[in-house]
Amino acid sequence: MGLRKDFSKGFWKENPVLRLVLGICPTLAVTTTAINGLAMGLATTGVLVMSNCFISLFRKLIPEKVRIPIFIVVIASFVTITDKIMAGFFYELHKVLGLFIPLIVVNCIILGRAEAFASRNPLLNSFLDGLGMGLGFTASLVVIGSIREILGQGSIFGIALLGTNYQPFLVMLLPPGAFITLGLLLGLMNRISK
Amino acid sequence: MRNMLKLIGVLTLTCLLSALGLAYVHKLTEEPIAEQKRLAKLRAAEAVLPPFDNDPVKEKKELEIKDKKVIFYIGKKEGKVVGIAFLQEGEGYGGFIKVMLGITPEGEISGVEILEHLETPGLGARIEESQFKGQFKGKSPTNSKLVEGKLAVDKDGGDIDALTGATISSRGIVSAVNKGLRIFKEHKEKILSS
Repeated sequence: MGLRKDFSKGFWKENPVLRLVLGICPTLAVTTTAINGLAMGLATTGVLVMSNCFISLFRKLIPEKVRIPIFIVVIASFVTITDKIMAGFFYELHKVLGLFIPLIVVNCIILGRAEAFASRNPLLNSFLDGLGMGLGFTASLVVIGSIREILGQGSIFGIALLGTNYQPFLVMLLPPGAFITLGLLLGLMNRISK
Repeated sequence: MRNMLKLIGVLTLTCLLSALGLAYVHKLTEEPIAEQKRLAKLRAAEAVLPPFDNDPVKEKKELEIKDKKVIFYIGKKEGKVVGIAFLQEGEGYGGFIKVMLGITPEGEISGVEILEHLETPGLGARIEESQFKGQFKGKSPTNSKLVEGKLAVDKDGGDIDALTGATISSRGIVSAVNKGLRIFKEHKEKILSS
């Protein structure tokens, strides 16, 4: 099996947000700024890689019938660990993202990768799959976050971009802005890939 | 039957291991998290008090107000009280907003700092910007436009500039500040007596 393909498919061909339309809840909720998207993406990537590796390692021991509850326990544990460690050692970052960390549990990309990939493939492949999917997710979030931040606040990564004369397009920061941006990007993606 | 017992066994074992892991992480991070929260409080108290030369966290005072314990951090300069800082809550858009409030012995606000909030990033979360929270400095019930005896946002007829698109969040802060001002007015002697 192509290890390179396992890694790279998450960026374009099977991009979780823009192709598989998975993990839309955090995608819509946190992408008000580019930095929020980046941080959420990286936190998710961390959890995804850990859960993929863990589930791949124990894939032969997990009984078919109770695999989903086991996946969820594993994922929830890793999310809680991430949350605690961030609160204890990266307090400033946790203050910004704290609200969204528990959301990672319900991110169906993680459960999706555990079910569709990690429970059937060896450790290295699963690791690369998790990393690729996670970074592909991060990239999508940064793109959506950047668009919304530029239009809604006239800045990117907190740096003023469009000057003080720019009248911010406030709706882009509100939930409708998330849907509009995601919809247009999905359309564009479909157009290009056709 | 045997098969079912096996499933129950595996699931129980998974949860047990997860619980053990989480308990360990909790123990590991309990102290750093408590320490971070204490530091955040201290930093906030420092930010809202006028210049002082004592240790306000050491010279704190606890009072029971309406069955609730309130801790007053007392800032002194050359032995004279220059300001007191204490925590108040106001209801925002996403939940309660914790506000550290500084008041001079004359009843003037010396500063407002946001400790915790769950407001929308990019909108309500802008209560953290100094442009918003800075406007409270120097305000007091005697030099502000009051609505029914309280400070109020411009939309309600007062003279606090509410954030665009985040009137509810702005009102939350104002209500926390008002509660604080009232507590100070009613318990001034007790707070200032040493």
